[in-house]
Amino acid sequence: MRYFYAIYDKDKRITPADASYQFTTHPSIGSKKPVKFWVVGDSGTGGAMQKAVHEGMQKYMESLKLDFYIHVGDMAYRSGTDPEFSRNFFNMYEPTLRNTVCWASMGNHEGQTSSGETQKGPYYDAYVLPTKAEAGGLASGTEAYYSFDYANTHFICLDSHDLDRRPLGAMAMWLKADLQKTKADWLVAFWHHPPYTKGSHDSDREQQLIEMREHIMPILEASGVDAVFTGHSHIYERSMLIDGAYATPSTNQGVVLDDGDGDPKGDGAYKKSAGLAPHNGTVQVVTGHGGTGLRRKSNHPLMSKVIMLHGSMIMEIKGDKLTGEMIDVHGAVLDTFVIEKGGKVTRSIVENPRAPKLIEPEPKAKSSKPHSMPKNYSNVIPRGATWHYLAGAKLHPAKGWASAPFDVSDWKLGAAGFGYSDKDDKTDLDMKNKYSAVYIRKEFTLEAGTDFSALGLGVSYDDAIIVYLNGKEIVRRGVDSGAGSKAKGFHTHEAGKLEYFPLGANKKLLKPGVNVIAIEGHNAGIGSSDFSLDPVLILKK
Amino acid sequence: MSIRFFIRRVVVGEFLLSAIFLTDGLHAHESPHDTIHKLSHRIESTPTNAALYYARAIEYKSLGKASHAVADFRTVLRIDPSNLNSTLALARLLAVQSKPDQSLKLLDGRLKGAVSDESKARLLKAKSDIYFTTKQYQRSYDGVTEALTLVAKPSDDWYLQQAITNLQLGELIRRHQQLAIGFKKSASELLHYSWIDAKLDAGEGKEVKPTILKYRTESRFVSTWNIRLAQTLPLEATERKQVLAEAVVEMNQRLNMTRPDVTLLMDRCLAYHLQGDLKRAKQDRQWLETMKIQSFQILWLDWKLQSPAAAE
Ligand SMILES: [Fe+2]
Repeated sequence: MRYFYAIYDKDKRITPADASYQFTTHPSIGSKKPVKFWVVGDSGTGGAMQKAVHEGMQKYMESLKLDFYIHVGDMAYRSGTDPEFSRNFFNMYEPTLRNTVCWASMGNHEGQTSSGETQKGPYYDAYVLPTKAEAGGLASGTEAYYSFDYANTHFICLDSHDLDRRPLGAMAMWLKADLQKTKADWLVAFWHHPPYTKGSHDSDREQQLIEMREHIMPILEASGVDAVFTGHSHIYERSMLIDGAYATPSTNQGVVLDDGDGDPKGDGAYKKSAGLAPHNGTVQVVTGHGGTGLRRKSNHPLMSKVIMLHGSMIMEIKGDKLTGEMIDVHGAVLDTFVIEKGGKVTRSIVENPRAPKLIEPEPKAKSSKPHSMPKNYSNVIPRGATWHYLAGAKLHPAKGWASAPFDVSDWKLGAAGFGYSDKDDKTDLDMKNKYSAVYIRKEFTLEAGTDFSALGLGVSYDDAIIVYLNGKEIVRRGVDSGAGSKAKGFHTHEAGKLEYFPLGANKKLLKPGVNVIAIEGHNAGIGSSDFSLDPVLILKK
Repeated sequence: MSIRFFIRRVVVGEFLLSAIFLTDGLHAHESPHDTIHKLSHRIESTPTNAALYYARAIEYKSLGKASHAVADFRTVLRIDPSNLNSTLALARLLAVQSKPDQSLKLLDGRLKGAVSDESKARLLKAKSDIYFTTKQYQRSYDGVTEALTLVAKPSDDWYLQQAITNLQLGELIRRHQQLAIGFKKSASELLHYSWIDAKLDAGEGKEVKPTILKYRTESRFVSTWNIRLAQTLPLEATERKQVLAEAVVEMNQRLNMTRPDVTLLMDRCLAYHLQGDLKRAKQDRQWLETMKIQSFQILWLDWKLQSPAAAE
């Protein structure tokens, strides 16, 4: 049910007559309605990065609507006071809060002025949370921990900060009772202190983190929890599919059920049995990258992806699929994992699982000072020239596409630049939310006697490129590994002036007569707000 | 369907008045070690700022450095003797360090100056905890019972503590009566379930059997309800054997044997005991012992294990 509302001060209307002042109630419990929600943590600085993360989410969502959002705590630095809540939470998220419910868990910073034991303080003034199972779940009698249902997903919020975290304490006993009751198909839990992290905090050394792992995780996994969201550690860390990883220190032996990346476009979705199956695997997500300074001690051995960039999560649960996407400040998707449920999946352990994939901002020296174009040059392939290109959902070129000769009869022809949305494109592509890779190639002729060492590439690109000369890779920017459909680890990059890459070092690859240059362009995320690929080939004079 | 929406209350809680801007000037993204380092630095230049010592004590505590934390909490109290949070935290740490006398002395001292009912209640509850660890159950009961009368929204722990002291004192009827009061006040289902257990323990299983059956059908996992149901059935009843066997099967499917969910292991221990499988019950109890769990629930389990299997 959707409600439109206005706020009055006596007879004076305070809110404008604007359709964004509305909210939608939850669907009935047990229904199969899909849900889309935002997860953000450790954001409450009131600063530019918090704003950018919020805008990145808005950019990604565009006209799509969030059903609600989850804040995993530290939403009002530094001490969770009332003015800090106003400045760093309510004012910052106002456009979203106007029509979207926020389900909150208390962080340690709010814990300086609010108490889980007494349920008093600005945090408990800022939110009205269920105590009597008003939105489903089992009545907890306290706002400090609670559960709710959205369609066929059960959500649980715990207080990891200042309540008894022992396995037979009141919170754990309530948790056990809540879990045995729920008949949902999906189970999501969230709180502040991460059971697995090596970001700004260390889950092997700090008490709250150790206790949440050793005491609370066994209860959740015995009931088949699917995903756990936490913050506190200022980083993005997303685990493989794991179960039973309760030891201290954490190890990856005997606890990993799937060491792939969970990405349907990569190693494939994580598979779990239909419904809620005990010990069938959990994905742990540390979303402490919502606005404050990032930090990484090392790579936690249970992670699949570790990303040292600001952002937040967009989650979708639809039918038998749960999809998690990490959205950066530009609205680009930097990580995707999917849990797919069906039939009966037998639990099996991966021996020696692979190490996490780390995505960091490119070192400043590399990214901040690209070479600019030389003053004098002659064109080999001028700007706006016509290239062969291959672009479309699930379209990737056959082997040998970067060398000559190659059959390009099913490729299209178009003028450079290629891309969308940022108005620098002559050939507009329908990439957004459909595909993230574009391949272009062009033959060019070099006269005998040309100084091959004067050859250079100028290119404006967003986000990443791999360039081939006569089939050999010569330039790679913003892609950590792999190529084509196997390319991985993208870094964002904005198009602008032509950046210059001298190719003289590759002169041995060139020959008089016909040569071929081929470029694959990648967007860091399929939902990214723009894409550009605009090359020229020149001879420096 | 309830409508949830933000409502900003203009209440300035008592808590806020004592708000201390602990981490002002500290970067939020730092590890406890860095925070301690910076706090120590600031303490050197302003050695009389109690908030800094309090913040550092919290960080020490999270790293398990109890003696450092104790020293800092003591310093806070030297500078600001009325600081309630430091008093409570210090009392707890002293109790963990097996110094109950020091802990009680500290709490009594602070109790004399307590103004608000809430501070008084929290101090009394803390005292009750100490008495409980030293097995002075009557005193523990008196403390928590008085504390419960002083606050509007006591947490579940307080009622559970009152219940376990009742059990230790053999007050089985009073135990379920007081849990019923708690449940009515807080609407916590955990207290409701504890009340059901207390009714069973008091031999009043017949009264709660319909509730047990209802909750059993509403649940996905039924083992705890089966265990409760079994206690309402005659020892030789086939149904009793069936529901207990069913409970054990379900629990075995859910238990990770490398490191079990303690709440389930406790249930299984009780189920074995009710089945008359004393050997297995003993094994599970020993396993719980090795996991070093300290809780009211373990005391209750031990009480159950000492009772005969059937309680018709
Ligand atoms: Fe935090």
